[in-house]
Amino acid sequence: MYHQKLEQVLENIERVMIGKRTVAELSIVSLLAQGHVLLEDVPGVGKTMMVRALAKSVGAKFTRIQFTPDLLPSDVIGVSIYNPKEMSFEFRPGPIMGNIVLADEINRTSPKTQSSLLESMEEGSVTVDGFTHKLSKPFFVMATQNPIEYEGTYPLPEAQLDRFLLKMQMGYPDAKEEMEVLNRLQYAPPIDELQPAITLEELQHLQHEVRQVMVDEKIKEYIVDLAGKTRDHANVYLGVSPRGSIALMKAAQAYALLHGRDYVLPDDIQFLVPYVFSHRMILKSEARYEGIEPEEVIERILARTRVPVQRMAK
Amino acid sequence: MKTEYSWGDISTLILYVLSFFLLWEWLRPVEQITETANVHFFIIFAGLSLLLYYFEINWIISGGIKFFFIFIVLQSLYFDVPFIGEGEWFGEFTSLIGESVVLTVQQNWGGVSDLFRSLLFFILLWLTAYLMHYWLAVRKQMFLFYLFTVIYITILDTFSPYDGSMAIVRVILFGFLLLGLLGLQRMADHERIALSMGQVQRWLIPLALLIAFSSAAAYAAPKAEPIWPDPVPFITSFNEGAGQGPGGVNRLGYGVDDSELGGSFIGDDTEVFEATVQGEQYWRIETKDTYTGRGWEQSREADSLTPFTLNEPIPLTLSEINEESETQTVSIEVSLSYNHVVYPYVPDQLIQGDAEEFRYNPVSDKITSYRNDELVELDEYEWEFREPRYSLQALRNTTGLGDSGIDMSQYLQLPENLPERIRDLTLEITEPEDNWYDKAKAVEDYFSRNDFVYEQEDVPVPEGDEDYVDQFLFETQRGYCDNYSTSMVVMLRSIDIPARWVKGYTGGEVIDNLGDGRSVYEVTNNNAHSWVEVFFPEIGWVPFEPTVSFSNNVSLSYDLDIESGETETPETPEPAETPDPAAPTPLEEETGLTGQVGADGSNGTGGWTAFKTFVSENRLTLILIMLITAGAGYVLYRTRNRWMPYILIHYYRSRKGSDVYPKAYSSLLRQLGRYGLRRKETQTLRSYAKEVDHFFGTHEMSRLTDQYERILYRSESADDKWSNMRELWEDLIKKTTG
Repeated sequence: MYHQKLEQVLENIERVMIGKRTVAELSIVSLLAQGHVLLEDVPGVGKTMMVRALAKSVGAKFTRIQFTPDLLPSDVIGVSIYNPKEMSFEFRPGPIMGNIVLADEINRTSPKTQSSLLESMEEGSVTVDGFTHKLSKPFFVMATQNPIEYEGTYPLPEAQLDRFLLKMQMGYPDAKEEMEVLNRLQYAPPIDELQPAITLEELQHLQHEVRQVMVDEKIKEYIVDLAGKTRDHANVYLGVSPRGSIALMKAAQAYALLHGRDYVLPDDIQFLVPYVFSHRMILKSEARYEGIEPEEVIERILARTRVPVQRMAK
Repeated sequence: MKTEYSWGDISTLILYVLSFFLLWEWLRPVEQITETANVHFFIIFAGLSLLLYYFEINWIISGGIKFFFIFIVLQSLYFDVPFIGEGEWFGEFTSLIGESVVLTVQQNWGGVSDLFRSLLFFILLWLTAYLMHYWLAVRKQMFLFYLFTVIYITILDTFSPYDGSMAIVRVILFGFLLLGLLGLQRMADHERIALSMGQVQRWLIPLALLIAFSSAAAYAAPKAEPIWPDPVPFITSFNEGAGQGPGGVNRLGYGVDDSELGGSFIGDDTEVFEATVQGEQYWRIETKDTYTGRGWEQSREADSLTPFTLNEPIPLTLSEINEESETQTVSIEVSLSYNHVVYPYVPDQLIQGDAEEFRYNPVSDKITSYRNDELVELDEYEWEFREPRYSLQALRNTTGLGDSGIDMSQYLQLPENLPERIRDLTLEITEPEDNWYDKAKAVEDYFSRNDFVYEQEDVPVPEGDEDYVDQFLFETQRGYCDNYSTSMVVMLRSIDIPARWVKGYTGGEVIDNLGDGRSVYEVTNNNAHSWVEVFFPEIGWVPFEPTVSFSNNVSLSYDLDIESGETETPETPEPAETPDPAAPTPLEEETGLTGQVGADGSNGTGGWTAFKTFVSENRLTLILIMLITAGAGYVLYRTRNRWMPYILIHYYRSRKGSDVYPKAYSSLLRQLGRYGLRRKETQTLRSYAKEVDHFFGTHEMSRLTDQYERILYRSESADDKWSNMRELWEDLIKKTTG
């Protein structure tokens, strides 16, 4: 059963990343739903370690792009180089050609380079000199943003943010967890001992399987209800787009599969809504001045929306 | 902003229209209860103000429009000259206002001109309209105003001639609609939703239906009679004595002037006196002998009143008193003071009463009380009396005055222009009978046999040359005691039987039973009554009761064996053991005087009256039963989470089918809710199940929920679920009985 293998992946990540089960689960959800993740956090909390552990657990090729202001699109997607021996141009693939890509500090590079990454994320291919090169499958990007540095950054436009399935934060470990981190790392980083728990083929099969997870009409109504309420809410300037509703449904399917279910529960929706919706809404400036966060708005909407628990009248 | 009218705007417009109707209700009575004329100008002004507020017109423009309106109206009302052209009026206008302002400052309210008062009233309306606008548009709360409107109407209805019975219906209709719509707007505001047509309709239609249904039900439902007497006649009757009320409507009660009969009556529960006596009596006050065609008058003033004192036989002989009749006493405690005394049939002597002297009027049979030659009002007095027993044989033997030589001309008087058809009718009715008694009985029974209706309202006053009796007998055939008694007297007189018209009270309602067989009867103004006495030369005056709702069971009892020894029984079997002459049934106060139309048992209302008697007789038992039922119901309701699970278990145990498990699960949710573990509507089943399991320390709810979730969200078939989960379900639901 694939479900156990996913458990195994989770366990692998947990061995490396102590106390970060939620982040691990969400990453797998995103991987299964063929979406990408935006991680907003300060440096040094283990973002790279997390992605590497995930890559190693699924036996995927891991690449990393460190975004800097002078990075060019070709540095991301690759470049054609003239090979004098063969008298022809030869495509040298860029770091995006991996299975699991860590795009570090994506907001530090120019919009041009950002969009080259985001476009390839969307289309699943890159085009260089008229030739289209397919990206590897599975393809999963985990982009990070540093929230405290604003000097010399290029914040991602709202439309681009919409392309990430989930946005999450890592957060600091608590004191006990941090002690545990120190203990484990004293002799050798545990990541070196990780063995793949699932093959890439199996992973692709699971990605296909996710689509088959049942989403009842009532659950869909619940999703639509929630999305609609973000559009009507007094504090929200721009609510969640239908693409957001689709993302929520896909993520919920993956989440259900991760938990060994072939049907989605309202609980899945409630758990995922903040991660799927928060970066897809723009609050009114008054609300922002009052210090209201999108997560708070979502919480209030959840507290006002009925969970569908009755069978529909036929 | 208002270029496109949304449904929200329309509902706002409805709000303004409704509040205009409410404001109108404030202005309606003004014309009637004050001297204000031309109220329509004020109503138009109120509407105009609200309209201007609705369109949110700039305050300078709207203020200008309103001032201009006030100016025009005042000018046209108080000056007879055209608005444009002659200019003198303007000077007068301003000087009037100036004067009035000075007078106001000097607090000389009386001198203030009408024009200034009207101006102030307009300004008051202006302020009120602004206040309503503020309540509607800003506060979105109207309840206070609505409440005050209701109070205003009810107070006016009670204490002034203004009849608010329709106004209160309108206020309820408009007011609830207004409050309901305003509530919707307030909610929409709170949630910051723009109202769509669908939302307004979804709210408005059930609201309108609900209000329409409840108003219709309330309007059609029978209404309980007020327990307290109507305060206005109650208060005034202490001052001026009952009788004529204002505005052509008569207040029920004893009155002196009977020269114009007819018109409607308003019931009045004011107590007149309490009588402690054995058995119910008719209370006599006076008689009248001259019928004018419109009412009753006295043929002459008495030459002198016959004085008598306590413990002295009264100089009044109604009928021969049989010696075997027991002497009884009645003590009367007066609440509504008059200077006459009431007496039962047939009085012997007064044995108690704080007066030096009583005087008997031989013409009217009225007895008045005196102290130091001044009329006094007695607080209490006591009679000795003997109930008469009439010999039916003697009554039937009477066919004329014979040679007794008594002058009965005053009791045979009739107006000259009495319509001939009255006599014709009487002859027709009495034709089969050969003696006075049976003729009188025939007339007495005529009314109930011919579907005459007892009615206190809508009884016309005869117009022009119309005869009061003629109108009643041949046109309306509806009325109250005066109609029936007058008609009977006139009819008997038309065939030369001497009869007279008697005023007094019926027996009243028992309010207390004393141990010795006597009861305390409360006699109110509602008991005021008139009936008939017929003269039989050998017997005297015998009372008859023609009024329909009173005649049904009237048990005049005639003892046949006293003198003649004959064993003849009356044609209509009457309860001979009841020795009360003219004793009304215990029902009569309830059916007759409270205006229950046609409650004479002849048209199918007998069941209802029987029910009413049953209720009134078993009032305590019924109340007790109701209290016990209510108490038991309450206890069962409060403890329902103890017994409900067993019923549910029993109910679901034997059931099969695909929808049993979901239903059982829903019942479990409700039962858990009653137990105190209520699921919030925004809570998922799974997290709720965890809470429940945590509370009981089990995993049962989670397991049940998992299966339910599969049905709900995975569309799994529920067929075999119930058989698998039933035990678990029963276990859990039993836990909630603790």
